[in-house]
Amino acid sequence: MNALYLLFGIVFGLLLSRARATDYDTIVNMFLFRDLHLAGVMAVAIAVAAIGLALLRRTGAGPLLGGPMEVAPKPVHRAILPAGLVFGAGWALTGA
Amino acid sequence: MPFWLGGLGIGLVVVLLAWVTGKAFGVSTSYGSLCSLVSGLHYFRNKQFVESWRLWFLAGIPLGGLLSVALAGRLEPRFEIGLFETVFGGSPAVKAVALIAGGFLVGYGARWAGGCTSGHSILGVALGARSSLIATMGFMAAGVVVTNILFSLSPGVR
Repeated sequence: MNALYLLFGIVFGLLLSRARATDYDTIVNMFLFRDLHLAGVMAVAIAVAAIGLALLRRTGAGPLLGGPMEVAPKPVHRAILPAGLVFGAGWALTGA
Repeated sequence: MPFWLGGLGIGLVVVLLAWVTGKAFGVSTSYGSLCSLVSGLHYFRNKQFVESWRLWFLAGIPLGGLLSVALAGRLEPRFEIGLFETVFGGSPAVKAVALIAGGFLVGYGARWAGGCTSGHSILGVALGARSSLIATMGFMAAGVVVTNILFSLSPGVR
């Protein structure tokens, strides 16, 4: 079971690398509006996830391994915007 | 890899993880799990951190990155980060300070917001969660503003 989660991580890391999401220049070029490649990656990922998760919800499919479906919207709190700004500042500094 | 293929792959990782395991895709919470291994702080005893799957998932990510460059035959470790060099100069000490400071902001901001670009911007936005839309607007707004300030202050970068 743990190997399965490791595999999910490996595939995700490989995709991040190949999609150049781990590349500082890709990130700053998005923030400087020079090249929106990474914004495109994120937009397609969100669209695919939205469709797939809606299908899962509608059909009631999964989890195949049993156990509860833990996918749920995260709670809203008052500090989310400032918290997001702090994260974004760090993202811009490190490209991570 | 074209942007749509990368996006398709990442979107499928989110959907498959939910379909097969029922787990919610996310990365920054895993750093809390890492902290829960060594810290006795009450904060890290929270249920969301004490889940071993997150550690396995987190461990896989750099392995996947390593595999990606190895397969491309570009496995040459170096401490040069593209345009980062033009902004922060070539001194390893200055670069390290910038990375550690930025890493602190990323970690603090992600925990405060309850997620990062994975859990909020990909999964949360895909779910239409208001919290994730607000967080993502914050990530992007600060990213644009701080990057533009950094680059306007750096001579020689245009």
